[in-house]
Amino acid sequence: MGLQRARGALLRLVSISIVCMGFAQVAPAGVIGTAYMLDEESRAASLSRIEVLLAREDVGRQLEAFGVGRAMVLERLNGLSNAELLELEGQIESQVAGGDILARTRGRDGYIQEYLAAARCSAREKFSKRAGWCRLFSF
Amino acid sequence: MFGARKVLQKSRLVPALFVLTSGCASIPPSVSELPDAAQAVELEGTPFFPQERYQCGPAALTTVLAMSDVDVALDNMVDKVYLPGRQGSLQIELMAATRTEGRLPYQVDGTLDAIWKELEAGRPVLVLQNLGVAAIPRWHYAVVVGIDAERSEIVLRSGTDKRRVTPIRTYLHTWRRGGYWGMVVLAPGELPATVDRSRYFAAIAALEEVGRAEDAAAAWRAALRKWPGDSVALFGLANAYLSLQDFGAAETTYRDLLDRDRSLLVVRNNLALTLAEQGEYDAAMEEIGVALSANSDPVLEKQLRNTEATIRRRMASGER
Repeated sequence: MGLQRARGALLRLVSISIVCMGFAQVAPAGVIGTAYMLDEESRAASLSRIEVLLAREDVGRQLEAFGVGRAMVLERLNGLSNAELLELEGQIESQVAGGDILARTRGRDGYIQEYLAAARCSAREKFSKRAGWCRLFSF
Repeated sequence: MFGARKVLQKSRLVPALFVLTSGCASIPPSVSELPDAAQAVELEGTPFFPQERYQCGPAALTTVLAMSDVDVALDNMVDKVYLPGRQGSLQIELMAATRTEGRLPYQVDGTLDAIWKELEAGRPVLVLQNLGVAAIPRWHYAVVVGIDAERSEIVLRSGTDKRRVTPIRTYLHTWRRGGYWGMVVLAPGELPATVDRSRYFAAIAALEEVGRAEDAAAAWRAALRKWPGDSVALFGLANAYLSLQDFGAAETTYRDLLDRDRSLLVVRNNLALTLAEQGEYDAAMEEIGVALSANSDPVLEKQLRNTEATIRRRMASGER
């Protein structure tokens, strides 16, 4: 049990040291970032270095789990701000992922969907002017 | 059998959901209005990268980067922003990849007017649309390259359509369901056509956090031209100098800030570290001492104590 835990801790240490690779050495230790003056209330602005590394490790693991190769994981982590790391920590599943295709074969379908959306809306707006029902249903 | 019945029930449910949740909250005038004299604009020179399946994110980002003179192959961009397990790209990752290409991603105001002004300034706008309905979303990135108010049309590079012309009203509904999200790509030092100070400053601070100090310095200088003497912008510029190890310029800028406002303890913290970097340990200890005695915030207290310890350590190893 104890051994397993020690092994877990070691693995975690190794994976953290991997996400440290290529981690931009922004400034000497102790420098307070500009984000702090911009928004003292935000948690991202007063993150410690170790908190940032833990968030990087978590986001890196999620990216890998969603199919990003290890070499690219590091490069992709290197563009993320602290606030963005916090937003993605444990949350990639629930983020919006834009990707739907409007291929030529399905282009007509795309158009139809767009027009349907607009037609539905204008009909509903007219209806709502008369009855005021729309507000009940819209969000 | 049970499964089939379930599907049937579901298929009956779908139209019901459609009606209930497709949501036709109308578009507020603040979003849809354009200036009376708004000329039709179309950036015809915007390149086109037809997307492969699910890969509208990389295609759209490659398009706006190309218009900002960043030459990057679509295949490389796929590696940087496409997330196979989600069959799409995240907004945050589009912004992160913009930074690593040496550009500043800026989220525009969610109004047609803001898009039109960016187009007038020669910048196409990457937007998020939802082409499905609330219950069955179909998230899609496209690039707005033109608006013609008179014909009430918007022109997009979208999917495999090089020039997709959509009625503005239709576009606005798909954009509303995309949270009115759109971004432009700025060269460091370039200001967006419609600028929100705190959003722009946060975008620059993000550049600093990912270690792009030179890009951040250029952006802070542009900010200071628009907001002369702004404390946050000066602090950001000084921090960029410190990262670039231009200690003299950093010290001057921190002191300039303290002359304006002696109560900025975070500035004193960074000034102390800058002095220590130059071997001026006594002066550094004095500054951090002043900050500690004036401070009453427990979070900042921890930071200041850390800095004090760092300076002491450096002093001990420096004098040995």
